[in-house]
Amino acid sequence: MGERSKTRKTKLDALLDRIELPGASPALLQETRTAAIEAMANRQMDEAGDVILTPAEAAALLRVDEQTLRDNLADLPAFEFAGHIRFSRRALEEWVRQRTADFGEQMARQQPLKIIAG
Amino acid sequence: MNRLDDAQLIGLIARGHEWAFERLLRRYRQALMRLLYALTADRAMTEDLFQETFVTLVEKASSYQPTGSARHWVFTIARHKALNALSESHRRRARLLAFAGASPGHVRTDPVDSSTRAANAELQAAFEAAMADLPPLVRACFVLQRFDRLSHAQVARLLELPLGTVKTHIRRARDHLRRQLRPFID
Repeated sequence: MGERSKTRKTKLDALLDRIELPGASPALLQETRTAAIEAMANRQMDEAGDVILTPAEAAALLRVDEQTLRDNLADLPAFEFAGHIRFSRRALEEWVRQRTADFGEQMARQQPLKIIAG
Repeated sequence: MNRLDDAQLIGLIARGHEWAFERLLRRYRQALMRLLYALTADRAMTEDLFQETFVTLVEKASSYQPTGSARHWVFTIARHKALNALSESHRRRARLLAFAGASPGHVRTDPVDSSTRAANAELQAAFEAAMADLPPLVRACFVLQRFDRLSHAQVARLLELPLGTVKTHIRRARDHLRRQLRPFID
């Protein structure tokens, strides 16, 4: 009985040696890297009081649709990572403050002209 | 050059060093895939959980306390994710079955997909089907011991199970596989 059981066990192990358990494909590893590095960046930003935004989130912050945001990407403080456009919330808020100040200055310059013209 | 241990790598990941993440990914990719597959018996779920485990690892790296084994910490994240995903998947399936008027006991997801590249696809399929019949922790004990070559004691520590339970689970898995794979053995 013991001998028979030992023989069976050996045969089972020989079979198991032929089994392939799933491995991580290069594509899965790359996706994992991308997701983890983004999480790493987000965590660092969080710790610094900042967060990374997707185009949809940045568009929502600016109260415009995503296409408008994409059409004006060159004006925005965006960066690209692994083919994805991302924004630092802090940089975007700083950009809004700067634009607000510029707009105010521009209006102040235009206002006297308007009065003269009026 | 000194080889950095897992705890040091986790500390470096917490400080934002991507190369440390890359090293840890290489170090754990095989063991985690096996553990997650053992727990879920589902290739697609394994891949999702693999990615989620590493993302959580990065997110929690700064709260990691290097008092215990780093390997245990990594495996615990994976195990919790897999068991949560399984219970969510069972709940979802039970809801679907309740809707269809069927009994959950008679249906299971097919863990074999078309991408199986085993030299002997029939054996591979029979093995995967047999594994899917076993409870998650029974599968996990067996895979860690048989495929990762861990001792019973190491498996017990990693899965936080009593040693006797680990031995019973492994014996149960082997007996089940021996029965299910008999056509290939004889």
